[in-house]
Amino acid sequence: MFEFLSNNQLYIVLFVVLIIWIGLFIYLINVEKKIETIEKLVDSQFKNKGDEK
Amino acid sequence: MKGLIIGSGVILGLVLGFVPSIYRRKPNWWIILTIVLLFTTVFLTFVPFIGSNFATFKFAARNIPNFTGPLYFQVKDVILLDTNNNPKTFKVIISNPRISAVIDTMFVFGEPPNEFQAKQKLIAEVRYNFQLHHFEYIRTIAVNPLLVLPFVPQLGEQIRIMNFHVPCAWVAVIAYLISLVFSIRFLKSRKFEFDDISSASAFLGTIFAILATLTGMLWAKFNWGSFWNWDPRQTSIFVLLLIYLAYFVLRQSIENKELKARLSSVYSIVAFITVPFLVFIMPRLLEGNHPGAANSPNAGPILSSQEGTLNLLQTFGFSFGFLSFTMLFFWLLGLKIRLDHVHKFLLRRKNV
Repeated sequence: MFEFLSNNQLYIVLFVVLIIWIGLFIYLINVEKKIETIEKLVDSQFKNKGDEK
Repeated sequence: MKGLIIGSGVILGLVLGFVPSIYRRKPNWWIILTIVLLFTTVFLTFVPFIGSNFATFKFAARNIPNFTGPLYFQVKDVILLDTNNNPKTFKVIISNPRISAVIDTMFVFGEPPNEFQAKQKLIAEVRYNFQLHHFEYIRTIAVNPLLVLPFVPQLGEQIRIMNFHVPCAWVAVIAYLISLVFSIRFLKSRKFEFDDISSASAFLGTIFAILATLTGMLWAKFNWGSFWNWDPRQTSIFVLLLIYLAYFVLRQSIENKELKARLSSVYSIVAFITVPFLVFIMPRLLEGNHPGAANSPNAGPILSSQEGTLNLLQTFGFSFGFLSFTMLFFWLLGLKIRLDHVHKFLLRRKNV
């Protein structure tokens, strides 16, 4: 593995890019979940008091 | 064919972006599909080797002094020439791996490596000898490569950038278009949620335009010699960024909610008129360094009508880039719209 990566350094770039994307996606999914929680909270708290729409 | 594959990626991205709707939570399958498509784009960008066909290689060798580059070929026959020479010289009959009728010759000085066997497909670094009309072997890069990206003389290895940099610029255009559409809808209906979508979209569009500029600058440093050259492409994106930065300045400077939404909607409509001109027309009309400028050969790799400029694999990778970046944009846009919505709602509750 180490030898392969030393000979084909482009694949190091591939792994760097993959790690960055994986990190970004974990972050995005996290944000997605949190917004969903807040939306549900807001809906249940202020259900019948009129939405801005 | 090329247009069809790239176009379907673009249209599919737009259609999927509006599923189920622009501001509702995206279903799980949608999110997983986006992630899978983005990783596919990354793989199609990095995994294949780059190999040139004979015609492109000779074109590059004719125009670039001391040119060496990757040639993709199939070995037909290895013949030992004059045995008195030291080192021994071998003449290798090679053919185009896809069209075996296209034949050429390559000289190997010294014992040819093991991979030089009949029917073997290789990518090797070679140079072209114009006096004797043959290729000269330097070193092997890949044996029987599964996936091969095309070699574009102006780009070389940098062709891989195309799958990320161009979709970034494209997503900026889509974002500004969505901003325009929702500005019009706001002016028609006076519903403030449309104004929110419009500003969120312009915001994300500007982020993607900045990303395209930065990635382009990095590439320009190594291809043109400096980060900023006032190339038509760079000048036009600079003007575009200024126009949309003024949009945010305008929004920030007005306190009245109704007036802010109305003025910025009108501004967004006027600003979008410049987008097609600055992104698609001006950089193609003027001479410059960016591929696709008026003086670049074959109108740049994307629009080129020449066979083999972009092979099927690169076309698919490019199309996947468009598709996955468009979906990523819609995901981010949905998140921003929903967050802004909740934020505004809570702020108003607090003030009541």
